[in-house]
Amino acid sequence: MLVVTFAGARISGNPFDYLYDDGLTAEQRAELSAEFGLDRPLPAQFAAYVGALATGNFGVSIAQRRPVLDLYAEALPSTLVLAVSAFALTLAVGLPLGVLAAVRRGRFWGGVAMGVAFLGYAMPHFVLAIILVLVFGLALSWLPSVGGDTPWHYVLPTVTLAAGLVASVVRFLRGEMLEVMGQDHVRTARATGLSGPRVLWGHVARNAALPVLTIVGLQLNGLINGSLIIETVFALPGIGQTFVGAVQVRDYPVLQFGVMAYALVVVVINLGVDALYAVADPRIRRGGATRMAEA
Amino acid sequence: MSFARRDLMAAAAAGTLASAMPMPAMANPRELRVGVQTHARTLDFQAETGNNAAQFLDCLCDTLVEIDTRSATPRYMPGLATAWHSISPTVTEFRLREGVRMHDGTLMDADDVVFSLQRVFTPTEARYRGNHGRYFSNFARVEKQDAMTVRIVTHRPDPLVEALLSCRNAGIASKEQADALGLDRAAQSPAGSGPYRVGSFRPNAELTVERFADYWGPAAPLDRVRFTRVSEMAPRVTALLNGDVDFIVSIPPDQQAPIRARRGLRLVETTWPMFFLYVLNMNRPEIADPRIRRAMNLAIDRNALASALWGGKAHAPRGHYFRGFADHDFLNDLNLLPYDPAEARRLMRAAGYNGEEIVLSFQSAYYTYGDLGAQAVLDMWKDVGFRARLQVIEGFGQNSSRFFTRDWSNPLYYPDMLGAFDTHWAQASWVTRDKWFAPEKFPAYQPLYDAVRFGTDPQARRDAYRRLVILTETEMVPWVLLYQPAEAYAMRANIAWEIPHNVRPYQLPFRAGLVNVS
Repeated sequence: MLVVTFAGARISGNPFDYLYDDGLTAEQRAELSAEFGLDRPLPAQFAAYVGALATGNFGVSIAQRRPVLDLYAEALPSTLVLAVSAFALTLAVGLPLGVLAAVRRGRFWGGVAMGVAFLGYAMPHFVLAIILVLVFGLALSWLPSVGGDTPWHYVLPTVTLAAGLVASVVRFLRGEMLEVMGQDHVRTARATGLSGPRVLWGHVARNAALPVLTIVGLQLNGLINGSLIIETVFALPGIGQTFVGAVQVRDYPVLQFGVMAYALVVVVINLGVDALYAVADPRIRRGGATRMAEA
Repeated sequence: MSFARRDLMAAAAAGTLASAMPMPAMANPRELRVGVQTHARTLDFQAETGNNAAQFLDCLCDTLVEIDTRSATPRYMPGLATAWHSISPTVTEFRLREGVRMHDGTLMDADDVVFSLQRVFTPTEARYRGNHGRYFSNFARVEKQDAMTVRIVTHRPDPLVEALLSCRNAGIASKEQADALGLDRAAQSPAGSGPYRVGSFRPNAELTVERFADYWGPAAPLDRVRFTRVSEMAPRVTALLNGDVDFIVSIPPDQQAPIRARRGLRLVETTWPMFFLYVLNMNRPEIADPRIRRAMNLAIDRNALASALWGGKAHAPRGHYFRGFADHDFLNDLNLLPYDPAEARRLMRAAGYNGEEIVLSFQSAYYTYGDLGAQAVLDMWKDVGFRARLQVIEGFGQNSSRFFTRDWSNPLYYPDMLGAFDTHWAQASWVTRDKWFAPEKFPAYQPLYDAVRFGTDPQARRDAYRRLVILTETEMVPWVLLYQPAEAYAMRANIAWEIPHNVRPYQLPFRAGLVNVS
């Protein structure tokens, strides 16, 4: 990952070509390159980069000449609020809607739930963002449309970001639940006289949870992708803007940190999802597996 | 990312829907919230020469010589210098204003002036090369005489010393702050002496400036001005319509309807003294013959561009002079850029054009309507027989010699008839350095340039500039001027603010007397 990021950034262009519209003389370019160590051979640059990383030094932005960590640290709260609230909304809306879509399959409310899901799935973030801004910001004046001053400023970005995720959760949860609902153990549970809700939550939902967890984990990664666009539309000063700005001017240190941090987040999320598998499914727990083997 | 016209039509429809609604009250009438399209990476007075930072610098810094922004013609006034006079043809002495407090609490003195201007006149570090080539190549050095006196030395006698020193890029910053923090940190929160000081700054995102209580001049009329980047048009217009911001910039003509329809808002429109143009690479073999470049110019129907793209609000140029700029009025009779496809074809034949491919390189989504303009120009070139194609690029940077064209803007950087031409087409500019512009092939050029740049007789300067405009447009042809784009600002109707005169385009003055919120 380090190699790909490092090499990819350099293949894509030189920051001085983008930072200085009028170009530079050879001497100026050499001076700037030396200042940021870009005059050294690539292996030497890479070695220096890895060495610095090992000591927790993430470098200095070429464009802003500030520590990279500072740039991301000051942008993080905005993105974190957006991501956490969008994720919470995804679970709060997606899970009940998914269950509704499965239980009421072929009926009115099931159709409504799937309609919402498909709409959220089909509509790109930036189109939905504009529609929400026009309706709730402009026409109704209920909600602010730009900036991040108050909690109200996060409502429209959160809904925009959550829409696609809700759609995914609804679709997968419905599919999994329908599959589980047709299995023998569910029929058996019903035959033993258990109530509908107990069958639904105790036997169907629990068994459908595993694949949905995987999807939710993947969607968490999608939160970061989506925030890149949404922060631009709603003028939220988050890490998406920081990262996109760095890409635009090939600000290597900022760009590299962004990619590496993103990769780390993905790994952590996937690890977390794996750990949650064990919570959702006792068979996956080692102890459980051992007991099963002993039996 | 950009949005299609249909988004804007939706915005217009929704705006009409909302037009009957009253504007929400301002959150704080002493605070102005401004939605800007682009923002700045640093606030370095001397290094930030682009259109982005130009919006903010006037709030933060002062210059030795100030200019009356309400006078139609340039009128210079004492700024951080209270008096100045010539010591010799190349030396001007400035007496500095006493008791000027900088934003870091120090008092302004000759050390601050030497520090600030020396960076501009003789930049020793690559990152500060920005405006030296364009502006100040005739300035040799600034010398401290005593604590409150400096002398500015030029290479040649320079009649434009006042004009150039009134630019915000000649703004004075605290040397003590730069020494204490280092230039990099100081550039994020520079200590100038302007009516507002930096409150907070998030590069490329948000800047808040606050009234500076110890300002030496008339107190700032606002407690606070917050410039927030809202890069997308629909959210920016919406933010104004629903009261999230009080003032927005850059509203193209086809997106003004919802603002016009809304009570409680007003639009202020202008056509800045600025060209949108394509620089032509005179050394590219396919277009090295000036007749080819002239044909590329004559093939373009500029009135159609101004009408179709800008709703007739942009000006179609007729030579390198700005309509509406007082110093260029004497050129209004010149029309060197007629739409003449027949003559274009004749020149192509005469030059032996044989279907060589012409590549129109431009940066997508960089200038307003730049993409549409490029497509229109391409079709016009094809109409007269050029084999041409578009090439979208991210930046020109190194090895720019391979390109045929570069999209560019030429604003009037300082208030003089040469204020746009000089800053972009002088010998120290990139066009000459990278050999796109080859004035050495035209012996008449340099004497005429010198006569305008260094001449002192007004009529002789005007005569020389007229000849320079004709020479460049008809014989040298280093560019394709497209239009003077229209610019519109929208704000709450209770904000009294007008387009300033004699300043660099895009400057946003919010000083005493220049903005009033009732």
